[in-house]
This record gives sequence, structure tokens and C-alpha cells, in this order.
Amino acid sequence: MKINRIALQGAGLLVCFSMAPIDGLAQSGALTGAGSTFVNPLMSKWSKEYHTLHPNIQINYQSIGSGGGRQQFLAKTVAFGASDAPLTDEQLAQAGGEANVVHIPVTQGSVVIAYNLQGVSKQLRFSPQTIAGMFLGSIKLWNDPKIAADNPGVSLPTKPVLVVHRSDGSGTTDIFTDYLTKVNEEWKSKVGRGTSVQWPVGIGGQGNEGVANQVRNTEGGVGYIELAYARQNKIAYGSVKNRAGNYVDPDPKNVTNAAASLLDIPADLRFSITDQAGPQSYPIAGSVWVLLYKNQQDAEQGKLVTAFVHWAITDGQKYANDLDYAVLPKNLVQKSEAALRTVTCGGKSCLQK
Amino acid sequence: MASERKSGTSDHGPRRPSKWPGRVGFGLTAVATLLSLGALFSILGYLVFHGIGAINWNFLVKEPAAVGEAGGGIAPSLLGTAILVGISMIVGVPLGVGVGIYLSEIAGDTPFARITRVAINTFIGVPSIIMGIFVYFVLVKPTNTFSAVAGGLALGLIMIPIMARTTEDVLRLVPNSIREAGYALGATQWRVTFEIVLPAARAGVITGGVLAVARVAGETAPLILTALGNEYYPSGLFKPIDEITLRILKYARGPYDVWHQQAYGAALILVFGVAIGSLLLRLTTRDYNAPGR
Amino acid sequence: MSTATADSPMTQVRPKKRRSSRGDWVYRALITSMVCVVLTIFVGVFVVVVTGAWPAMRRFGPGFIVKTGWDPVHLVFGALPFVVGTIIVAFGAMILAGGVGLLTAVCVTELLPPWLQEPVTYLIELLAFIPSVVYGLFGLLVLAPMLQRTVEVWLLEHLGSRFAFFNGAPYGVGYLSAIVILAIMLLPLIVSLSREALVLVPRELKEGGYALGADRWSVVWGITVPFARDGIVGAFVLSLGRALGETIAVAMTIGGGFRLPTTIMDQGYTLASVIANEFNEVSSAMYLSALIYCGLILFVVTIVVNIIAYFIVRRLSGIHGFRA
Repeated sequence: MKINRIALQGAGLLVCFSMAPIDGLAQSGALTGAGSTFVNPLMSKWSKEYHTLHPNIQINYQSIGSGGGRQQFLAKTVAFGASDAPLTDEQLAQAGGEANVVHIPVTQGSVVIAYNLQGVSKQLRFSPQTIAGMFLGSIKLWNDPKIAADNPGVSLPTKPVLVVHRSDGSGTTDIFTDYLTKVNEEWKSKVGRGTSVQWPVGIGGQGNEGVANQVRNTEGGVGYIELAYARQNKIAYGSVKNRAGNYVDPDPKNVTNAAASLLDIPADLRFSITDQAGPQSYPIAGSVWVLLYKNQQDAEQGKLVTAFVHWAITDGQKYANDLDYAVLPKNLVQKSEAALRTVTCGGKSCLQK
Repeated sequence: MASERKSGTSDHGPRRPSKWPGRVGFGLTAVATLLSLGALFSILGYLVFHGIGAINWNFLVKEPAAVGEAGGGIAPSLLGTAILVGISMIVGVPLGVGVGIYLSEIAGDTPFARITRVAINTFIGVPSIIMGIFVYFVLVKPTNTFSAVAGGLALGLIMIPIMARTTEDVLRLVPNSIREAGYALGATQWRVTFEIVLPAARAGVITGGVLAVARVAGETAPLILTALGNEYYPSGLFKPIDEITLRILKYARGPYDVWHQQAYGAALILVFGVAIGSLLLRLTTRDYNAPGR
Repeated sequence: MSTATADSPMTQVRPKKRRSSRGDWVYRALITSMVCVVLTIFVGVFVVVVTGAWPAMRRFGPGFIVKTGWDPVHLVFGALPFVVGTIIVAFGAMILAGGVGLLTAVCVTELLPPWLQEPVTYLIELLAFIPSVVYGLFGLLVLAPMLQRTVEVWLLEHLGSRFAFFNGAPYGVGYLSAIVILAIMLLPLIVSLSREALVLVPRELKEGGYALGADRWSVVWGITVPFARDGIVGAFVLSLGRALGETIAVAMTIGGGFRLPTTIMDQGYTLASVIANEFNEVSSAMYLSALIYCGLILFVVTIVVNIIAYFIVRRLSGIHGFRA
């Protein structure tokens, strides 16, 4: 009896030992993720840093736009999707229902109003109605009274406002149109919110990259892009008037302010942080979610991807501020981690402590 | 010659037609030629001027750096291009040459032969993105992954009609007397084709192959839907893979100056490679031109 | 012009059905099965495209081709802007390339000394080897900004007030850039095919013209070019076929717009470029199907144009093996 018990304990230890992942050593593999261009600078940095830490693991992220990321996620051609717009109810149904998908917020950032006006050196200020007017086409010139009212003392040129929007399915568009729908009745009824909308005016650029490039090349151009793209490419951007009436700069800390104002976070983690209350909340702020299937069919892949995402929401956050993204607030990290643990590989949680 | 004189003419003979229409006309043609050459030189000039700075050892052997950072390279795309072209040749060359042999050596005047010929001639002109759509539904979706195989397959399918057409044309040029000599010696049909006709047309078939490869190496659209792209070296044939034209597309559209310069550099390498190949082709196959040229 | 050559299949020696060699049987079976595989693939391509387009075809019907409106939110799709865009870009480029290309071909064959003809032809043919994406790169980063600063501003200022066609905001990318880039891409095709047609003109005809006292220019435009007309038309039609299918260079320079064009400087899409830019990024299954419906339209149009081109060019396949 005694020998049996020792044998049993020994066998149990052996079993436990063989199941514990030998982290970093045996793990190797290549993952493909696709989606949001909003997060591309940060995701690309994460991918490279993670690769330096784990040379056998490649995270190949292709920024094809949030629309594309969700599409490829639904088609199951990628290991994870990244999107600044959560899946719509229709898409959730396509994916097999709410119980089948997890949304993991990984970072947050600001959508800035970028513009190209040589000769105007002061940072412009935009009120919600001005922004709506420009993108609806009712404000056609830069020296329009509405823009002038936002910017007393600044001499604005008589140049046409050349709108640049996204031509592809975009989470950035979703964040921007979500904001416009909240602050402007005409936009709400005429255009609405979505990753792809029928734009009243303007030309289309592909991805945040394309819009940034186009605004850079077009005198009088105005477009909406993620902060990193504006700062990295020295494109001017404006401060935006928030609900409290203050003109707030799109700095990451003001995004964190907006996120902190969000009172209740839904269980499925699909939320919006545009037009939040709070004196220093930047109004056009958004989150980026990694989309994962709850039941990972490929256990190896599931372990790799959950380990990577876990790293991104913990250690990876230190890269966020340098690249002009907002660090996730603590309560959100906890919720993300909890959601990540519900992802199963072969019946149990993919994440092993 | 008319002997009547118009009033106002001098006594030096009938009035000659003005030289000016000719001068202006030929002048316009010269301008047009200069425009054509100018287009070529300005494109090449921009590639060299902006791209030469990007090409260094790092560029050729390193993986891309993080977005916007300098110091990365395009090595995975160079390898990827070679792999994709290789796969496309495995698919495209045998099938293309086979169809070419059929059309030249075996086909009679049957409906089947005519359908084949029409199919080949029409699919030569079909936009390559259609092949990409086909391979996406047939391979990418069922296997749940973008892949090198899918990309190579799409390129190979594009290659088939081109190879078939050039092979057929080149085999047709082989004089019948050679075939007849073979048959007279008692050779069977397949031996005549493979041991007499094909070797005689070898240079042309190789030319056709090189041209098809050059054409396929420049195709981007089908790869968007099949290969997707990769920031790293391909980890397997059933994984996404980078390719030089995909990388140029991505970098050209971005806002980063570093990207633009690398796009020019990659384009320079691509064009340079193709130009050298074309020049070698022209020099080595000049003797094989059809008589009468 | 005769269509059958001495080496056409009709006159080829075929082995008599004697003791059929097993090797021959295997050879013929192998080759024929290869052809069957290829034909099956071609049929398969058509089937897959139709299947993919079917949901959109059922929902929008043939009216899809003439309706406007591209609303991914409310799932209302009409491809007319792309059809119009394809026509504008393809024909615009063909006319521009045709004019410049034909004149260039005339210069090369009639004006240049023989030692210069080959190198110049080679150089122009080099344009054909530049991949589409490199043209797109040049168009996006060099040509479009240049057009934006010079030509478009000039057009807007001088012609914009009189012709609505030129009254557009100068963005750089748009129909104008796409047409110019595509025209450069078509140049080598037009130049080389026109040149081949011009070279085939019999010397006697030209000499007859000179004998009648015509000068060189009259001979060129009165005799040589009309005689080569079939080949030149064939070149134009082939370049049109090529222009209809050009995807990437257009996708990078046309700007991306879903509305019907009103000015030459508008942004738009062609059938091929809208698929390339939107395929991986569609937001719904119906959107994907609508895109593939565009692909089907493109497929059918290029087949028709290529069949026409084939028959025109076939009339010239003669002793020199002149083919497209």
C-alpha cells in the first residue's frame, strides 16, 4: 500500500511536470495576425521585441485595416485579428456567437485631426461642429468663419479644405464616425457610424498609412489618423474641444483620462471611449482589441498567441508611450487578462502561469 | 508632269509641295520618341537616385525593422520572390509547355483543339487578379491560411497561357522537313517531338520561359489575395510569405521616408534584375530570329 | 494575307495509324491529359468567380452594372462608377499611348538610321519589363505630386472656369495620374507592334510613291501607315485589352473613390483596382460578393475584347510568324 502511494505520487508529479510548459525553450512557431493599421506601429514593435526575447517565435502582423482583420478572423485564415472596432452583432453571429469569441483590449490611442497648411504654425483648434462641417462638405475653405471662431487670432488662408478619409474598412473610421454620430445630428442621420461609410466628400487613402501620406502630399488636406502616424511623420494635428468645453491635445495621457471616465465596462469588453466626460478627456479616443476564438482548434498556436497577447498587455505596455499610444489602465489590464484566461486549448486554459 | 503653270509661279518649274508638313510631321514623331525615351529615363533615374542610397548589405540580408525605424532590410521578400517564382515554374512550365506541344504537334482541326486554342488566347489577357480570386477560394479558404503555395499556384496559373502560346509559336517555326526526316528514319511521334523538334526549338522555349518568369515576377495583385506578406522569413510553404512587389506596394503607400527610400531600393533591384535578364536574352538569342527579319 | 502557313497543323505530317507505338500512346495521353487539366482549371476559374459573385448577382441583378452607390453599411452596391472608371482610364490611356506610340514607331522605322533603330527599340521595350508596382510607385510618389503642383493647377486655373470637366480639386492622385501612368505602360506594346506592322509594308509600294513624286512624309502617311493599318489597329486593341486588366499601377494612382467622376481630376476606381484594394478588407460577405461580381464583369469584358483582338491580329499572322 505504501509503495503504491509513493508510486502514485511519483506518477502524479511526472504527469504534472510533463504538462507544465518549459517556457521559452521548447516554444517555437510562427503566427500570423492581421488587421488594424491604427495599432501597426505598436504591434510591429511588439512583434520585434517579442522576437528578440523568443528568437524561435515569429509574430507576423500584416496591417490590412480593421475591416480586413475582422474579415480574415471570421474566415479563420489568421491566428488573431486586431481591430479598433469590435465585432458587430452580425459578425459575432457569423463567428458562432458571443460565447465563441473574446475581445481583448491591448492598447488605446487617439484619432487626431491632421492637416497640411503651410504657413500656419500655431496648432489649430477644432470644435465638434467644425469637424463635422469639414467632413460633411459644408465647410469648404480654411478661412471659414467656423474654423476662424475656433482659432481667434490665427490668420487662415483661403485654400480649399481637401478631405482625406479611409477607402478601406477601418476601425479608425469607426472611432471617428462614432464620435461624429454622438456630437452631430446631421452626421448621424446622413452618414452614420461604421468601419466603412458613404463619405459625402473627400478622397480615400488606404490604411492610416495612406491617409497620412495623402495629407502630407496635399496642401490644404485634412484627415483623421492615429496620433503615432501624425507625430512620426511630422504632420500637424489639432486639439479638439471636448464635452466639458476644453480644447484638449490628443496626448496619450488624455486618452487615459478618457478611458478612466468610462464608468461601467461591459462583460464582453466591447466598449467605446469617444466623447467622454471629464475636463481633460480627449474626445476622439479609441481602443484596439485582439480578436481570438475561445476554443483554439490548434492548441500549439493557441498557446503561442495567448502568451504573446499576455506579454503585450503586461510587459509590452512599456513600449506604448514612446510610440504615442496610451497605457492600458490597471482595471482594464485585469479584465483583459481574465478574458485571456478563458481561451482554451484542448479543453484547458491556454495560458499556463 | 502637269505643264500648265499656276499664276505667280516663277520660271523654275512646277511648284514643289511645301517641305513644312514633312518637317513638322517628322518633328512631332521625334518629339514623341523623346517623350517615350524620356519616360523610361525619368523612371529609371528616380529609381537610381532615390533607391541607391537604400541598397546596402543590411538591406539585402536583414528582416524589416519595426514600423518607421531605420536599419531594416528586405531579405525575406527577396527569398520569397525566389520561392514563389520557383513554385510558379513547377506549376506553369510543364503544363504550359505541354499545352504548347499539344497545339503545335498533336492537335488536329478538332473542336477540342479549337476550344483549347481559344481558351489559351483568351486567358492570356485575363487580369491576374481573377487568378488570385480563384486560388483564394480554392486553396486559401479551405486551408485557413495564406501561403507560399497559394501564391505560387496563382502565379503558375498566370504563366500557363503565356508558356503555351510561346511554346506553340516557337515549335511551329521548326521546319516540317526536320519532322519528316525523323519519321522517315522510323522514329515514333513522341521521339520526334522530344528528341528532334524540341531541341531545335530549345532557344525559343527558353526565351519564352524567361519572358514568362519576368512577367510573373512583377505580378502583385494575385499575391495580395494569396500570399499576404510576411515580416519574417517564411516558416513553411503553407505560411504567408513576403514578396518584393508586395513590399514595394506596402512601403510606397506608407508615410515614412525610410519606407519610401526602401521601396525605391527594392524597385531598383527588381528592375535591374529584369533588365539584365532581358539584355542577356536579346544578345544570346539574336541568331535564332525567324528568317526574313 | 494568308492565314495558313506551311507549318500549320493542317499540313503537318501525322504518323499513319500503323502499329501504334505504346510510347506514342502514352505520350499522347499524357499531353492530352495536361491539356484537360488546364482546360478544367480555366473552367474552374470561371465557375469559382460566378459562384462567388452569385449572392450579389441574385441580390442586385444585372442592374448592378448601371447603378451607383457603394454603401457597405446598408449593403447597397452599384458598380457603375467602376465601369465608367475602367472605360475612362483604359480608353484615355490607349488614346494617349496610341498617339505618342504610333508617332514614335514612325520615327523609329522611317527617320532613324538603321544602326540606331535597334537600340532605341530595345530601350522602349524595356518599359515593358518594368513591373506594375514600380509604375505605381513612380506614379504615387513622383508623378501625382508633380501633376498636382503643375498640370492640375494649370488646368483648374485656365480651363476650370469654362469647362466643368477641368474644375476639380488638385489632389494629384486621380484619373489623370492613372491615365498618364497607364499610357506609359502601354507605350512599349504600341511601339513594338506598330513597328512590326510598319516594317512589313513592301518596299515596292513605297518606291512607287516616291516615283510619283511624293515626299517622304506623304509616303509615310499616305502609303505606309494606311497599309499597316490592320496591324496598328490590332496594336491598339491589344493595348486596350491590357489596359482593362491593369490593376496595381492604377490602384496606386487613381485615389480611390466610389462616386461617378465629374472632372478629370476626380478620384475613382476601375473594376480591377477596386478588387485589389478592397478584397482583404471587406466588412461583410455581401461586400465580398459584390467585389467578385465586379471581377466577373471584368472577366467577361476582357474575354470579349481579347477575342476581338485575336481575330484582328490573326489576319496578320503570316510568314514572319507575327503574333501579338
